Order: sequence, then C-alpha cells, then structure tokens
Amino acid sequence: VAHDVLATPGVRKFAREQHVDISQIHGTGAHGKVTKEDVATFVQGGDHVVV
Amino acid sequence: MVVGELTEEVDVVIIGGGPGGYVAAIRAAQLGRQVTLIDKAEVGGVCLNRGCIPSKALISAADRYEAAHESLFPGISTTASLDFSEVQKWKQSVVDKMTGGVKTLLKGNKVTVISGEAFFVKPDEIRVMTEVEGHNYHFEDCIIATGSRPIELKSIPNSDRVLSSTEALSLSEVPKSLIVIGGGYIGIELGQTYAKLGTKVTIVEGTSSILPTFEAQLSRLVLRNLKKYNVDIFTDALAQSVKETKDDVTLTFTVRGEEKTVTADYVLVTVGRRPNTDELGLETIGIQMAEKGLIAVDAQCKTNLDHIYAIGDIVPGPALAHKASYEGKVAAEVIAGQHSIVDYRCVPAVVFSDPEIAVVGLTEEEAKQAYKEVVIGRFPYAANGRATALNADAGYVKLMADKESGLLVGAQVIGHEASNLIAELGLAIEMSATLEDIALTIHAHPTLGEMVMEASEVALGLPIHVLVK
Repeated sequence: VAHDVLATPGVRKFAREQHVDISQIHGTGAHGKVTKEDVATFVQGGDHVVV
Repeated sequence: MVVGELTEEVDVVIIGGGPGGYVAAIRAAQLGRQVTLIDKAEVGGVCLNRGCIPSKALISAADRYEAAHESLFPGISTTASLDFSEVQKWKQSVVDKMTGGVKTLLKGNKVTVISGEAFFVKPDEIRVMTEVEGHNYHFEDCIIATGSRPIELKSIPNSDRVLSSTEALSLSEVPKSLIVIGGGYIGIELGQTYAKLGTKVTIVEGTSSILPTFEAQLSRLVLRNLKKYNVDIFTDALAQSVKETKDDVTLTFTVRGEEKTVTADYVLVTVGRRPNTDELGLETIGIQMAEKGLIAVDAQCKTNLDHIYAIGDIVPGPALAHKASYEGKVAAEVIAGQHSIVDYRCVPAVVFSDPEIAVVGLTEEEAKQAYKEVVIGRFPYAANGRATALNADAGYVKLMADKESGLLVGAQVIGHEASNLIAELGLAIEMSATLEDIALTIHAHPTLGEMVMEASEVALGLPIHVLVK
C-alpha cells in the first residue's frame, strides 16, 4: 500500500482501459497523484506499457 | 454418467448464488453473456439466508427490546415484553423479502437459475444433481462462488444442543443460557444479541482477547458493554469436550491448564469458516489450490484454467460479502472481455457489536511499518454534539496518515453508527485523500460525520472542539 500509485479508482480504471501500467505514469496532481489527463497524455506519447 | 446422455450447451455457468455469485451473474448478463446460475439451496447464499441479514435483523430486535425493556434514556421509563417467535417470523420475512428481490433481479436480467449441486466432470463440463436427477452442462466460462460453511470442532460435534451460527439464528425461543466457543465477530454479535434478550452468556475464546483480529483498544469498549450484561468471558481458554443431557449441555474447557466446566441450554461454536471447495471435483480438472483449501487466483479472479474463475470465501482475502461481490463484478467483466482487475486499496470490515466497530485500511501498527512517520488523529464521541444528544457518547474516530504527505492510510471507528461512518473514510483512502482534503470538506452539523472532519483536524494539530495537549 505504501508505494501504490496515487490515483482515484476511476482514473485507475481509465488507465486499465487504455492498456497502460499506471505505475509508469508521472502524476502531476497533489503529492504526485496521477490524473485522467496524465493518463491521456501518456497514451498520446505513444510509449505506453501494455498490461 | 449414462452413456449417450444429453449434455446441454450453456454460455456462462456460475456455481453459487451468494453475494459473489448473484452479483457476478447480473453483471455478466448486463454485459451480454447468457448466464446459468446454479445453487444447491436458495439464492442469496449465506449472507442473505444464514448470515449478514438475519443476524442484523436479530441484532436490531435485541437493541429495540433492550431500549424498551430497560430504558437507557434519562426521564423515560418503559416496560416491554418479548415474543421471540414473532421476532423470528419478522426476521424470516426480512430474509424472504431480500431473497425475493435477488430472484427478481436475476429474472429481470434473464439469468437461468437451477437448483442443484454442481461438480466438475471435465474442465468445461459440470454435472448438476437435483433431488431427482443429474444433468450435464458444457460451458464456455465458469465462475465458482461456492462460499464457506462453519467449522465444526471434532471434539465437539454439532448436535441438538451444539449449534453453528445457522441454528443459533433460528432458535424458536430465547435460551436461558448459552456458551459461545470463539470470540470472533460472529460469536460476539450473536452472544451480545442473546445477552440483550436475557440469556446468560458465557464466551470461551482461545486467544488472549475477544475480537482477536482487532486491536485491543477497539475491543475494550465492547468488553465493557458485555460485562454490563453479565457475560462471563474466558480468554486463553481451550474447549475440550461436551456432555449432553436431555435438558442441557456441559462444556469442559481449560484456561491456562486449569480445568473448568460450564452448563448451559446450548453451546454455539463460532471458531471460523471453511471454504466449500472440497466436493466440487476440482482435483479431477486440475484446479490449482492455495493454502487451506482456498483456490489460487490471479488479479482477474482467474484460476490456472483460463476459462474458470473463483471468487468470494473460496479465494484468499477477507471472507466478507462486499469483497465477494466486488470480485464477482471483476470476474464477470473479465469474461465479457473487459480489462478489469482486483484493484482496491482497502476493504472495510464491520463488527455489529455494541458499540459497533468499523475499520478500513492500515492499523496503527501497519501504518507505522509502512511509513517513516505516522500522524494520528483521534476524536471522541463525547466531544460531538450529535453523539451526546443521541445519548450515545462512547467511542472514538481514529485516523492514521502518512505525516510527510498527509495521506490517509487507515481509519478506525468505534461507537454508534460506526458501520455507516466508515464509508466516508474508505472513499477517502481510495481517492488518495489527505487529512487536509477531509478537514476542508464541510460536514453537516450536528452529525456524527463531523467527527471525521474533527479527527483530521486533530491530526493536523488544529482541532476546534478538543484541546491540544
């Protein structure tokens, strides 16, 4: 739990649907929280990790 | 099997209609699969028929009776009488209403329900035995959700006077006396309920405290309350044997080597539950097991056979109805082609004792192991206006947070309505909320929920309604 990615359940689901490993994403929210936009940006970057 | 017997083709088979199984059935149907649900008894499973729902119904009745019988309220005097057979009738009507609801939901979602006992004959075929005949079904995908059953003690087998939780929920009259072996949440809930109804209750627990899976601080208030009802509690006690007569049963047990006996109308054994994985023919199809009769599954609830899933009390994790339902949705979504996985940060656990206990996330000790520095915020019910006006001011809300980030990592509530207060804290942990996020959320006044806000402020060092020492 200690090192889990900070993200809401909805954002975690969005990342799964985009086939990305959310732990690879740099979060821009408070305390490094991964936002939906972060996931979208990561996907557009093309170098996503397939789960 | 008779040679040449017809095997029916079905799409998704779900074995077990409990909170895991029926939820899985509905979600799979919602996502376009044709679902066949098989249950050997009645839909709703243990939770609706022999667990959560009937036990909470009896707890409500006991609370109402207690309040009416022995007014705990200043200025109000009452007298009450108890007709336990009417209470049981009402409890059954609650169960029937809820199982009827599940039947309606399954029907509305076009799930085929078959009453019978299922076991695997091939990796993609099950045989279902009804009372009169056997029938085979060849399936595409299967979700096993067969749940668990009470553990019976070898030295103290079930009888007319040695009961499991199932029989204890359906007694036709309030026993004069009851011995509870096992002081876990089921034993405490049922023991406390009967104590409120007037039964002389004795609790015999093997470990050093009741509710051993919870922190000692949490069980203390429950212990105090049990003593008020004259409940005798023996800890570090090992049940040895029982001797039954026509009218009563005597339990022999040892407490740190010293032998003791207690005689009562009934003995209730609540020492745990075991997974129903032993009569399914799992070994014939080569399903990989984890420890203690549990089925090994991955994060998608998939077994080692990729078209067979397992959920609920038969897989590792806490044996809780809401965990089973969550897994049921995951398994159903995966078989419907979605990318679901078991991805929760926390599962709340509630004891419907008096006062209620509810916990979510890490304990204080776990938090201290996981984080460099942990900050704790504790707010007492006694400082909350609503709690005081409810004449229910025993208990507290305790929050654990990572000091560096302020992230909430665990919460414990003991007191009136703890079971409902824990929901906000579970959401906060899932949302990666900080103490500040909670403290800055306006909570309605006067409500018990304000204690969550105030406990956050305590942790932040700026509480309004308690003095910082």
